[in-house]
Amino acid sequence: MPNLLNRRNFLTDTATGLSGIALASLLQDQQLLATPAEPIRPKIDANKPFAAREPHHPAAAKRVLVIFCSGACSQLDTFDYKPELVKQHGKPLPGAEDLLTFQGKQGMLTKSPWAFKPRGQSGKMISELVPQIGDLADDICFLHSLTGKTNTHGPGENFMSTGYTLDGFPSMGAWTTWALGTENENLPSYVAISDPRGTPQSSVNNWGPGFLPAAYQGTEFNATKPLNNLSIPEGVTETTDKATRSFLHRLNQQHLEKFPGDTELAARISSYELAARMQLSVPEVTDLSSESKSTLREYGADDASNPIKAKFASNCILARRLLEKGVRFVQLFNGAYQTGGEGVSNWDGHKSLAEQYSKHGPILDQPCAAMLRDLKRRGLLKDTLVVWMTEFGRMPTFQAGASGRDHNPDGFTAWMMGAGVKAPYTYGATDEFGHRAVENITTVYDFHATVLHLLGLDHKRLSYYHNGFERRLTDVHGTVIKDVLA
Amino acid sequence: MKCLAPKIRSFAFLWRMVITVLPAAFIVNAQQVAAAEINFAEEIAPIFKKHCIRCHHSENRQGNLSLGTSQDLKDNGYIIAKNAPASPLMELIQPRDGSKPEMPKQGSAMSKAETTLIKAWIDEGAIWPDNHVIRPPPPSQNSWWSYQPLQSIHPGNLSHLPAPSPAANAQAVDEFINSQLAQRNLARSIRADRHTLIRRLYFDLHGLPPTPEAVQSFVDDPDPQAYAKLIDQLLESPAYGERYARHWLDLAHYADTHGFERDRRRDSAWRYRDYVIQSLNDDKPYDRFLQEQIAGDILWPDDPNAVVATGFLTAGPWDYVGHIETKSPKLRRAARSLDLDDIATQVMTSTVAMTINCARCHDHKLDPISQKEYYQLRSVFAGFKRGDRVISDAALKEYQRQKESLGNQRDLLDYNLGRLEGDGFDLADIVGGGNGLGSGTYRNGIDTRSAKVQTRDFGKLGNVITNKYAISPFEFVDGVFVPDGKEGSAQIPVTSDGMSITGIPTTSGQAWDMIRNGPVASQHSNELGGTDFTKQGHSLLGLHANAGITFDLSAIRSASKWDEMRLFTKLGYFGADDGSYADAWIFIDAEKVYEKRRLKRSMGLQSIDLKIPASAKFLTLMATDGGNGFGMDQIGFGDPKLKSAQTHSLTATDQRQIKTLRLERARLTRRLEMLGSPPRFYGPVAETVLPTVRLLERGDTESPRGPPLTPAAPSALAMLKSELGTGDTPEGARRAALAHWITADNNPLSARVIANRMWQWHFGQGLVSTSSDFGAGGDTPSHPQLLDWLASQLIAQHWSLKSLHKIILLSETYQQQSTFPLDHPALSIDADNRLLWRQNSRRLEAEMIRDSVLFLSGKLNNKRGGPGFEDFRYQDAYAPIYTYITADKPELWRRSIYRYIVRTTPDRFLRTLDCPDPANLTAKRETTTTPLQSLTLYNNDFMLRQASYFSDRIKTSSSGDIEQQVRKAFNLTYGRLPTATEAKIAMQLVDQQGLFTLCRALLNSNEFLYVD
Repeated sequence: MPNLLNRRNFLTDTATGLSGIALASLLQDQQLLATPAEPIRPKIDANKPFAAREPHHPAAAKRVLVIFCSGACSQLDTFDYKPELVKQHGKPLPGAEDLLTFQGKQGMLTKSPWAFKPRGQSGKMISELVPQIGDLADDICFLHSLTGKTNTHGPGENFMSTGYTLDGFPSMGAWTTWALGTENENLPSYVAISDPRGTPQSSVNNWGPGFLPAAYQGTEFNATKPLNNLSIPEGVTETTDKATRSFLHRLNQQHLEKFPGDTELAARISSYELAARMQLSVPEVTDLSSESKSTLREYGADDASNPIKAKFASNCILARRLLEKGVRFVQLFNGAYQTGGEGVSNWDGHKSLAEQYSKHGPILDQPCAAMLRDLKRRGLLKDTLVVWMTEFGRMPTFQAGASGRDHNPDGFTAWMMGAGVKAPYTYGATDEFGHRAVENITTVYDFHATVLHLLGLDHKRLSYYHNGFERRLTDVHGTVIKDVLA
Repeated sequence: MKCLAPKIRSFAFLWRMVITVLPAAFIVNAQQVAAAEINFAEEIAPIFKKHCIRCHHSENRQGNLSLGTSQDLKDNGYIIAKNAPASPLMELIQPRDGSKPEMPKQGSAMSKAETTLIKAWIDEGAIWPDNHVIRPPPPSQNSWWSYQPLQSIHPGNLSHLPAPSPAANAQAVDEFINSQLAQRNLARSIRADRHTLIRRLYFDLHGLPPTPEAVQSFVDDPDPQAYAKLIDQLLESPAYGERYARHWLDLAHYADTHGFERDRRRDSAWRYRDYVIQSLNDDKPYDRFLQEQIAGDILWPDDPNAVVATGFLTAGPWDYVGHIETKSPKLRRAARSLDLDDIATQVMTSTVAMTINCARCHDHKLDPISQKEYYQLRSVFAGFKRGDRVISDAALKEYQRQKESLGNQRDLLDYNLGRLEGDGFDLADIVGGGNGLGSGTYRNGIDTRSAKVQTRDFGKLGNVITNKYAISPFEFVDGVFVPDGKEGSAQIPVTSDGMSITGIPTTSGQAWDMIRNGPVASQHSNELGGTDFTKQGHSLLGLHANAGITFDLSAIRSASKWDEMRLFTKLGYFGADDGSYADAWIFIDAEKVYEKRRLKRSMGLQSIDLKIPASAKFLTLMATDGGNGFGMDQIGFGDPKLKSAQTHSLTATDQRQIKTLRLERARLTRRLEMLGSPPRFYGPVAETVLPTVRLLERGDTESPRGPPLTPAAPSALAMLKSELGTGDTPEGARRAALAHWITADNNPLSARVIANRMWQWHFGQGLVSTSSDFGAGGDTPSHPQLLDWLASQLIAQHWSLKSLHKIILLSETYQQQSTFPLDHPALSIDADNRLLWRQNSRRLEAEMIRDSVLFLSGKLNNKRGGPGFEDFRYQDAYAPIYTYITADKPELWRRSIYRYIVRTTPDRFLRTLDCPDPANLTAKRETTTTPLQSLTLYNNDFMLRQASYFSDRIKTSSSGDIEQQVRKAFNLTYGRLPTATEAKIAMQLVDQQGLFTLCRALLNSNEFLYVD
């Protein structure tokens, strides 16, 4: 009987007396081997697929919030300050004569339309485009030397979210919830909050299960688009709904008597009970009416002059509420493709960067900064890891004949904040123009390995057999970036 | 992949040892010991080579250990020289407490003689000559089970059986199963009752439940052959192919869109889907089925089915941005490399379960497939690209001839009708090359740079020269241009006789796509003000800024015989409502007669009615970008019609004539619809030049290495010739050669792989549980003899899949019951049921749930074949938007196999129920049980509406008697009547909450969703 856990693997592992957790902690305690031996599957009880599971090693972070800026948010106009770019503004990028990037030929080096200012005690230089996030610089660990493998958006989003450029691989959140389950089974273990303007370029691939069991896919909803199929259907009274449920329960129980050995049938019965609990707890967590006026104001959720920002701010509040309730993995998207490609509704500023980013900056900045401050105030950053990322960086030049930057996967920025992360801290650097990573060059694999490490997971041992491969989030690569660990 | 995993015991052991004996040198090097009795190279190295090296060599190092040199043994302290009893290695390779030793993990344990030798070697000082490196054995083709020829096997104790017959063959299956069960003192479960069996067969073979009548007649059938008869009957039904095609399409990762970020439509893909259904229903021999899918276009070019079959090669995803949109040649090469990997992987894993894709960046780590062989295989596929292709030139010609002839007839009717009724001249139709009465081609466009006709979509146009008038060859179109007013100063020519306009603002001078009969490329929306202008009865002249077009009024006048005319149209901004705007203009003989500046989407439709004097010669429509860039500026003229200004009343003769013409037109329209879409399919399109394939270092397209490679299949199958041609062998011949290699009668993999897949489809688990990996990384067969016997049977029965179905289905093993008591003795021995001491109960797959619900509600639409049904709203955009709707009309109530499958935007209902992502090759579906599934089945709109139809169906076919309704509901859902208790509580429920409530509950119940 097929079911949630890969039974063959599970039984094989247990039959040989190998307990992944025991082995992991033994290894950890004794540090006997530099790299541990075997990929180990989480031990999943088919009756409780989302029950919290122990990590490989003691975890710094219990949960993760990913803030994903779709469209490739320019490092040069936000967090990666390059004085040389200001000086050389209008001059050619040395060696770029024949550089042919995604959209074609490059024009001249171009400084950011926004000024950079020192922020916080640390004096980290951050652009005026995101002043409020900038003010949190002392709490942030910046990584300026990320390098990617692709120059196009869909594959780039896939790469950041799944570790592979192709479609069809499990997302980071799917790996995480597969490994760790959740702390609150009354809510989905993994939530993807899409932008008010629509979904990102690679859409559901960003929170897909890939070949992992579908149970571990992200559940998509946001502050204005409720979770599907949650409420009692129109025209059905609560009494009727309850009566139906209790009748169904009796029917299923009687059926179960004929199949006493079948755990999957029992699991389905309890999934209805869990569903009923979810019907109560999801509306509770998505109902923002209990939030104070001052909170709404702080996030910008009451900003009538900028409805997109107000909606994104509500999403930020929702993200905080989900984390508070113990949701394991929350992905918050900023930017979308459905309602306008090439920078219109996202960070893909090819042609008129100043104009487009002037719209996107304010949508992101205040709500996001308010959320981060709020998480900190509530003590959530102690065991929550916040990760900001985008699919790749942008060029220090403007495109030939246009006022925007082309794609650049050779050096870009992401940042982390919260549980287990060093801050204020800056890791790695790009060259003088912010074009290529030159110092502590790191990869998306390393980045993913580090996120898993903070969750108490060894990326080399979290794997799933699929079509001939033991697949991992980090493929066959990845080294934990030890420098950024607190 | 399995590897050396020392158990906790070993680690603890090792740890103790590390503490106590560190840091002594454990292995003595050659020069330190003069003479020893055991010769390492001759006696010890072969043992390591035989048992250990495959998983523990320098390239693999599972368990962080290589036995290639002495380095790791030293570092990890596995061996303590001169002290074998304390050496952890001995602990690992010797049996303990009668159980198998921990190492080697795969293959047989070391013999007593071998372990004795190793022990002696260690005790002598574990001498490992410095220069001795043990290399992995030349891959395992000589020993790995799946590469060996099929064994000729005769099940024991069958001498009492008559000559081979379906029944005898089925008994043979049982003999194999019984004998392995008996070894563990287990026995098969009893046969399930007929009620269970008919449901099992229906869901297994049709993916639908049986009707209560079918259940009853089967249960009551006195014929002892009733079960065999039922199998025959179900295999003969076309529903069989519709069910089994799903399995095959999972392997082909078929979908109707390209996938990746743009996820554009692939409208001709469905022909391949229909081919699979048809082939299965026809019981096409499996070898031929594979040959057609790999090289049908080459082997049987005159057989349209065989040509369409090659849609298999191209069924997977394709990256539009990586292949086409990007300007970077490096990115294109990378995308193409992944594309070829996808094709080669699909072909090899589905047919022979070889994971060749593991050899893209390096030699396969477990299987005897070198990196070079991988690229040789790729060279079989490198000569074609994915694309639309005609089934045959003759078929296309015939299709076009018929379409043209019918179209012409209809055009003539329209022309006459237009003249009689005064319908007017449609300017959009004229843009599409038509006569203004509907003969134009939808979405054809006129290039503003050259006035050339263009059929494919363009984006931003290059080489634009503004204010240059290009004269059109079309009868009713005078010319086109790209305007740039240059702050009002430019003289913009707008007619072929030299008239020009002036006073137009500056534009970006850029242009997007063509002036079209229909929406422009990537148009945000076709709908505005509640009208979808692409729908029947509407038309749209798409005019993305910056562009202008001038119509020849004199020519229109001479065709229409109208003097004074009027222009009616609905103008709008069809781009997104994101603040973008553009300007729209109309001129008559270069005189401005209409102007709408800063037109935005939010302003809706502008109704235009302009009088055109009898003297006017030219009508110009123009869109300019408003000075804020031309992005999104999709101006459209909806239903743009020129009509006679004179209204005239119809005579009785005219009216009669109109009636006749209308009838004739309806007949022609039906014939055109029946003609369907053009005989095109999505398949392999040969490249003009055969590309050179080289090995790519680390799989990197920028690091080709070595000489050009010739096409070849993996040499692991030693009984077959691996060469598939030379460097000069044409593209198609390479595929044909591979097809023959795969389907050779002495290729042991193809028959084993499909026999195993069929077993998996019938039992939920294959004899080899990794049905797409028969290599060393996969599982080994639980019943190797049975597998080989089934494979041989398949070949003996001329590769008839239906024959193999019958053998399996007729076996007692298949017919066992699935239920078992909690104290069943097998649970402690074989909880996984790999020995088949019972049948496996299984939850319905996502599509089966949807289809069965429709079947119960009485709404299932059995229309077979043809383009997929679209249960979404489609919106062409930068990345097309697919918005799912509740399937609530007959066209959408077809079986799920006919769904238009969108890759990047999956159907949430089905995905929640574990429908796999068509980005992946799915060898076996996973089943999960989650609260979101429960919510979906309980509250989803489709489910609720169907529950309501289900209850309507019961009501109309039964009296108002509640008891009768309850009996009917149970009987339809479960194929049985309710028990007394069930009837009682169900009647109570219906009485208090209504019949709908009962139906909703039944569709959520385990008994409905599980097959026993």
